[in-house]
Amino acid sequence: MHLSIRNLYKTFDDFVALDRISLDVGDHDFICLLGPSGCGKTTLLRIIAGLMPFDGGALTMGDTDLAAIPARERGFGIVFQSYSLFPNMTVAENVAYGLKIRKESSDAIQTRVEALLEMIKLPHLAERYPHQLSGGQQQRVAIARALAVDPALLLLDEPLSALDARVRVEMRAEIREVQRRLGIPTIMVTHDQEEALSLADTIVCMNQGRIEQTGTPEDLYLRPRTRFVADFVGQSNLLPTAWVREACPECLDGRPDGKDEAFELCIRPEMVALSRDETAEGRVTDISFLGNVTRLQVAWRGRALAAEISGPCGLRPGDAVAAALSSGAWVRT
Amino acid sequence: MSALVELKPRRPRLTAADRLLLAVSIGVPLAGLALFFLYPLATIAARSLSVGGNRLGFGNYLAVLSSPGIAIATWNSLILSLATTAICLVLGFAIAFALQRTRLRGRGLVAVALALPMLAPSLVQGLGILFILGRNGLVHKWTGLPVDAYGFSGLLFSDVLYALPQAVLILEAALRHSDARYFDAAEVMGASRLRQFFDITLPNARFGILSAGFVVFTVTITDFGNAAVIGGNFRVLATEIYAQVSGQMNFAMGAVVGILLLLPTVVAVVIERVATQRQFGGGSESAIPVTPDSLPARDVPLGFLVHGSALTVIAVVATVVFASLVKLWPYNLSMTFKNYNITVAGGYAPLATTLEVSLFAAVAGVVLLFLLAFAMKRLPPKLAKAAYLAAVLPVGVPGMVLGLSYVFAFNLGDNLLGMLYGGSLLIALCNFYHYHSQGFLTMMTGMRTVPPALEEAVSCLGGGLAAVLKDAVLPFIGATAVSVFFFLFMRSMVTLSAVIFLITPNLSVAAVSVMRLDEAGFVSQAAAFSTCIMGTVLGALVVMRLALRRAARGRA
Repeated sequence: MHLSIRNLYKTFDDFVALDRISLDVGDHDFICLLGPSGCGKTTLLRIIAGLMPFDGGALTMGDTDLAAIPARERGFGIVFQSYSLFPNMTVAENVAYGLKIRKESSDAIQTRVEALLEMIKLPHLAERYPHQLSGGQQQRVAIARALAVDPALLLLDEPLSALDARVRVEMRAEIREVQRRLGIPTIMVTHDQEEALSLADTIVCMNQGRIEQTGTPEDLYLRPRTRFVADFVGQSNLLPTAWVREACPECLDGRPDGKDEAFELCIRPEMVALSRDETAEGRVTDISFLGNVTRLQVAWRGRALAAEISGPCGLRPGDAVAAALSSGAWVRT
Repeated sequence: MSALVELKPRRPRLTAADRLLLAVSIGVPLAGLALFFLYPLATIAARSLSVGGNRLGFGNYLAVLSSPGIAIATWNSLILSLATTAICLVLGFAIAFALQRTRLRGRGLVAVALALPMLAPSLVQGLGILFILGRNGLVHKWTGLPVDAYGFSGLLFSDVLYALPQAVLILEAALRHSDARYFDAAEVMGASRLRQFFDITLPNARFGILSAGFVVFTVTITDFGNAAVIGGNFRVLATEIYAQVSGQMNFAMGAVVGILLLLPTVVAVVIERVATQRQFGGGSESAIPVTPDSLPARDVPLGFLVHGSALTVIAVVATVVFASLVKLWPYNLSMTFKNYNITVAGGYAPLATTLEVSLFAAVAGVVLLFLLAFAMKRLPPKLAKAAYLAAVLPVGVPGMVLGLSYVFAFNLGDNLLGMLYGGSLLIALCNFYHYHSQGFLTMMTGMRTVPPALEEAVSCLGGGLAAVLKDAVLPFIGATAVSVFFFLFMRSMVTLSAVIFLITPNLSVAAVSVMRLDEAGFVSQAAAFSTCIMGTVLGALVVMRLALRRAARGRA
């Protein structure tokens, strides 16, 4: 089944929360809605879930119009940032909840719950209560509860944001694996670009209620189309056309036609090549060593450039360096 | 931009069962409020303005204002309430300060004193003072002095005892919210302790002081019990309204005085609400609480004052219990249970009625308040605002006024509502709506602890509103519901001011019995009956503690 969103429009009083959003979610897609807080990503997820009405456009699943169908009848699974397990039910009862509502036989429920707990690797915790579990374990249970009813669509609302950094990375891999295995179309909301890049088949980058760009993680990183995406996904040097014309005329290749102010050149820090050269005009102004990479600030032709070198660099602040820019993408401002 | 978008609002429809549940949760409580609160109030207002036939006018008001009796009662009420407020604020602040900012010992004693007014009808203080300071009191017996507690000083004393604990609770809350960093900064800058008190402690508590002042003023000016027992010839508005209606059958006068009694309360409630909103608007989320310290020069005198006040509150109530157990107060102090053999004024039947009324008020109250609080979140904002206003309005209406308005609204033989009059059901409803606001606000606070995501999780898993109620809301609100239940129950057990107008020769409640026994001169029996009421409420309190502990364990 294929979820299709066409020109979806949503306002709160006079504030436009979602401005003509169109999006397709295929059978096995893992889609990340990525954007800063307040960009409308959670609103979009809640509308898809049926937890919020919308003001215009269409929302369909296959041939079914979802607009009038309440959340309880959509048959989607949802996982919240706050885990939201029933505090008065055991792990097993939590996972079984949706099946009980669907009045499945208790044998069927038990088999299903056991299989799910096996899948999330917590079969030994079936009789525990949520408050006896760690955050990561609670979130696994919440995912199992959402999956128990064979949802047509899995919705994840910042599911990893409340977890410790290390647990978050582990859970990322688990979510990806489970989603691949079950092939359930999944939409996840996140403001963490690393999470989106590592998990998604398709990233939908949102800003101020609009979609800035939809594409694969590579698309968004290597070929950002707008200044916002270049800035939000990864780090970048954003260089004005006039400066590029002066400082690096060869980089003008591939620039779309348009006024000077309409486009900027996005160069990722690792695409700035530096070499020590006593006669060169570049100057290292700042160095931060981060272990696997070293980040440098370089003053070059009247601008401060961010550069990144893998491993230690052997340079010191004040050293003279030559800089070469390559593989940029022209972005709309 | 939006002109390019075809606007067609799409809202997921509710299933029929959910729509029904929502309609019931909002419809029934609001209908109740309209019928048993707004309608009676409108009736009393109309009655106060009706001047014969169908004409309206201020004739009744002019008559009341020009009658010397009412003028005196108004003056007396004002003086009494102001004096009570002043004393309660000074004493109450000292006690609250001692509890919050010093390492006072013997806090248990103070806690008992603070809990007493919840347990006892408001006439118990008056009764106790009569036992000690009355014409046949202990002091007279021991010293032979011609003491007389009836009148202004006795009433002032009993009102202070009644209102002081309520003032302390509010002032304690105000002092609890202060930030230690202000004091650290002042200390570093070299301010003396006294300066810190006047520059930081007092100004920071000013809204609490204001709020406590209004609460004390309101409960004093509208209190009926103590005025009836110990007021003597010192007439106040609350006793005047009762005399006009019950004694002289002057309903129009009663209605006018009722509306007048509404004024100070309404003003007080409005100002207090504005003040508390501002208070919390200025507070910081991450305040560091002030650590209590000890300073003998301050704490020893303060300790005497605090424990002296607490002991007085307890002693007066304890005297009532003690007096109920002796043969002939104060001349023959040998113990007996004969005072508990009450046969006049219906014997113990009113206590049974009160128990039944209180249980009903608490059960119906919890269900209605729960439904209303549950529905509030699911209403369109405008309707929710109106419902909220209606739900918190009762706190501004004194019990006497509510009771009197019930007379006007329901004492009619000729319609369906009239059938309620003279029954215990109407008394229960009156008690519930009398304390509706406090119960509602508590329930709303409890409702705020329900995580919204959990409710949504139920919906996404396929559960309807009923499942949301059962699995997401109830587990979180159980403890709140228990405390609202017992709040309504206990208030209903001891309240006098509203129900005084609703009793009939065949149907009375416990607090009225105490008053009747006292009026008839059976003071020892009145004491015995009071003790029975307090015992019942205390029993309920113990049950509540156990129930709450079990609820807490259930969640853990």
